Amino acid sequence: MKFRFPWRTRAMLASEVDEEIAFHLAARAAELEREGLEAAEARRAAAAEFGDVAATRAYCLDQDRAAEREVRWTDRLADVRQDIGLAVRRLARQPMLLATAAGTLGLGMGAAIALWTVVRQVVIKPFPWRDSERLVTLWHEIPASQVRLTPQFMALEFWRSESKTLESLEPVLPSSATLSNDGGAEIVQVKSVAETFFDFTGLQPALGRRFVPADREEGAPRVAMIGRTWWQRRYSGDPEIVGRIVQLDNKPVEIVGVLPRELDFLPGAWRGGVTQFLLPLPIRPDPDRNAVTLGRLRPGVGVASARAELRTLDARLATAQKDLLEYQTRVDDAASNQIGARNVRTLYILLGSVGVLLLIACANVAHLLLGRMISRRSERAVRSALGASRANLAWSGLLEAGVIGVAGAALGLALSFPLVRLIAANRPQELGILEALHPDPTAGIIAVVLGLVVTLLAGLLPAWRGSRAAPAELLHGGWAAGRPEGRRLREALLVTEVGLSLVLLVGAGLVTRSLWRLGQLDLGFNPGEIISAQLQLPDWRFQSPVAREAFLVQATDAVRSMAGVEAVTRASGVPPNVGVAFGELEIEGRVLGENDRESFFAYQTVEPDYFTVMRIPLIAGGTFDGRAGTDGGYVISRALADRYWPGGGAIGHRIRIGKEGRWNEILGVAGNVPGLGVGELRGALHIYRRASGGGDEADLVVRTTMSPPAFESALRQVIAGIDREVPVRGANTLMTRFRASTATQRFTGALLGGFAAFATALFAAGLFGVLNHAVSQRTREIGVRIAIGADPRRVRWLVVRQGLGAVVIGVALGLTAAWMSARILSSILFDISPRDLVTFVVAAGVTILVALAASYLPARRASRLDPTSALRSE
Amino acid sequence: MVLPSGSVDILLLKALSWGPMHGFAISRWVRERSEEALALEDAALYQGLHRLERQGAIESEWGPSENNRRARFYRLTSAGRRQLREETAEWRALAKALFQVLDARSAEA
Repeated sequence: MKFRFPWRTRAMLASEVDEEIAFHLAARAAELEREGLEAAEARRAAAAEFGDVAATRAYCLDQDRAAEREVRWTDRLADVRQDIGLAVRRLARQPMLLATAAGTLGLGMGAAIALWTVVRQVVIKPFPWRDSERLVTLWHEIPASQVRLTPQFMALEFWRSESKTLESLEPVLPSSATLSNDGGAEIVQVKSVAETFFDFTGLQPALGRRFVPADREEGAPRVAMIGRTWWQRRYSGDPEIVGRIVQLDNKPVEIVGVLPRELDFLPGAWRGGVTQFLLPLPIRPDPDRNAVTLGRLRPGVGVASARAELRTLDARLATAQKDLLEYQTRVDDAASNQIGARNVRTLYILLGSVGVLLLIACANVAHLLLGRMISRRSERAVRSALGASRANLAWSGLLEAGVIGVAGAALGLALSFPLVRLIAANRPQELGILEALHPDPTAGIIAVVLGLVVTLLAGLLPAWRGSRAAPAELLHGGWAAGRPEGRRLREALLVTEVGLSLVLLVGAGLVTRSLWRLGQLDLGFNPGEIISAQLQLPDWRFQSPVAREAFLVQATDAVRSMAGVEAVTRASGVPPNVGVAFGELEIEGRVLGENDRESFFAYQTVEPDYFTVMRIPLIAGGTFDGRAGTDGGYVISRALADRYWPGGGAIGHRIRIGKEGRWNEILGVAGNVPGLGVGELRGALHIYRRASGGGDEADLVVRTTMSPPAFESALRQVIAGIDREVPVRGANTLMTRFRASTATQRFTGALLGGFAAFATALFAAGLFGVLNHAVSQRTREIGVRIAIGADPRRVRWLVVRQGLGAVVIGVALGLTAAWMSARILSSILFDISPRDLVTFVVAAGVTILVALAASYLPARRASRLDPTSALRSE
Repeated sequence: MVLPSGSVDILLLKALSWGPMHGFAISRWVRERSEEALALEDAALYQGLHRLERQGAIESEWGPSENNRRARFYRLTSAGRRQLREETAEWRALAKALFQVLDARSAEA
């Protein structure tokens, strides 16, 4: 390297130019004088020969300044490169520190990137389609319960011709079909769309062709497209899939294309998971059918104005569609509400938690760096004495943090891919759509941003602290006296870590307690003894209700005679997934007050022996006995009876649901069963009706000692013996189904628990580091104490006490923060206050215990110091 | 005779190819070498030096002059040496072509 003068200022450059020109003029004048000119004459001649001095001076200065600027830049770049190289080399000398810091950050960042991927793909941008910011969904809403229903085709046609705020509308008609395969039949989800759907989304097939208008004609050859993720799973991504004929509802259908990944997730389909079959919508669909209705706003139109416009149209729409009187139209941003408000909150809570975790990881890395700064104080002192400024020292400290930040971000990015796969594989049933999760293109940007943020968070404090070098200390041999350097700062970091990890611990504790409560809930029957399996009767196979009923009776009898089956009955839906009835409840001869109007009920059609088989107690009255049909009377749940007849006496009263409903007598009151999932308290208002016979699907409810897989294969054989074309949907105990209904909570609990455990481990490591360092610094002092006979217990306490202050403050702050942020969690908790005292106390206790455990090792080391060698140290 | 534009640089580079010199020495060298035929104005000379320095063809350093005054000495860098070689070749080619045209005799002569 070439030696260079320090950077030159403008004044220095100017004086150099001046001196150079003056030298020239003087030298030339002297020369002319030697040739015989007089001194004054010679000077004048020299100046005249030179030309324009002022212009030359300005020009030269200009050139020199430009040159200087360039030099400065290249110098700076070279310096930065050199500094980075130095930082890397310095860190490489402590590989354990580098690995710990980068590993900690990498884990935190990996989790953050993975959760970001989930939130972005499911909540923020579930439909990466053309102009997706103008996409809306249209609904009919019951104002009282805010239940949203998909509109009918009739409404869609009406809006198409009347709306001025919507540019276009597209229906997505959901249904299911049986797909025949070698082993029997399976049920698949089907969505029907018009050919215009592809222009609407602006997407092209991944393989094959899209629908054309001719596909929708009556009598046209049957064609279908399939979803991409499903194609990969069900058909192993067979590249020859286009042109294959499959049997859908017993009719040959040609697969003409595979959808792009952007269509794995269709609106209103998140519970069912990824897109399977897409069929062309018939050219004239039944106007009464309900379909998911998508709209695109005209440019510049907001959701609110579209909503306002469609509400003004409601009155005219209602004349065409009578039951609309009870509803009003609702327009939502398509991205919102796709997975339900509670799941959105859950995901944001998890994302927030991972952010907190990352903060703790930053604090921990700051600890490590600070410790490093302190142990290298002599190096800093020397550099400072040699003329390094505070900025120089801080800069090199920050660069070290930067190297760690970059390594952490790279590791985090790499880790995020398997984590995304892990989440997709362990998705809760309720978030089936996570199956379509894929590495997000924005992950790289997030990694860079996180790397930068982390560098600043973890690096600024140590860099700032490390820039305070005191060369004088070196001369005094200062630190042998044992003044702990940077202790305040380290304690502040410790307080932060303890507080934040306690917040996570409280959150995890609350969710766990809530899950425990859910598990303890009295379900009204024993769900472990009951297996249910669904039979789906294809239309093409059973033309009349009589034929369907005959099959169901035959199947029920066959199951009853299976070995190991104690009892069997049929129902539509089983807890926790029975049907729902909407509409205001009315009681004959009684006017209900504003607060007594209920319009959302669990609704189930059952056989009379359902209660016996399930062992749900009948508290009053009886069951349907011989009565059948839609006016055959109701059995209601105890919760519903108590709601309107708190003193009893519900039997014999007549009720109806909605103005269009039939009056039905209450025949009996049954024990409470959570019909709509354990967390859904509204599901306790339960209405049972006798099956009218001949439904196209039925759940077999079986009391058996067999295991679900054994029962399922036996059941398949029995059903196939009657009719090979009837698919059986997975047999499971109701216990399993209840567990699945809380899968989202357990998923949340597991993630939060993992975060909390990680956070606790981080703060424990931080505490251990601080105390261990303190013991090293005070070796002599402790040695003296031991030498003059201090009790080892007192010595241990001396060490533990050092960290305890920070821990106690951290616990206090953490409890306060958890208390104040409690409301955030309340929406995902069941039957437990977000300020549950037990959880708070236990979490604080765990934190303090962990702190004591982390203090123990350094304390023991201190109490076992050998006084003679301790005194000789340093 | 006035120097054609662009020729100042090559002149300065050529002067410095003999060794480090300060501006005044270069000025004298040009004057003597061309037997006063080339009128290189000192202003242009200094502007050229600073321009070349910025371009990296030459570098400067302060040092004692012949009569022990502080003077700014210029020296060719390796980039400058290369530039001199290339420009010399170009000028030669240009001059040759020009002479070919100027020396051409008319066909009937």
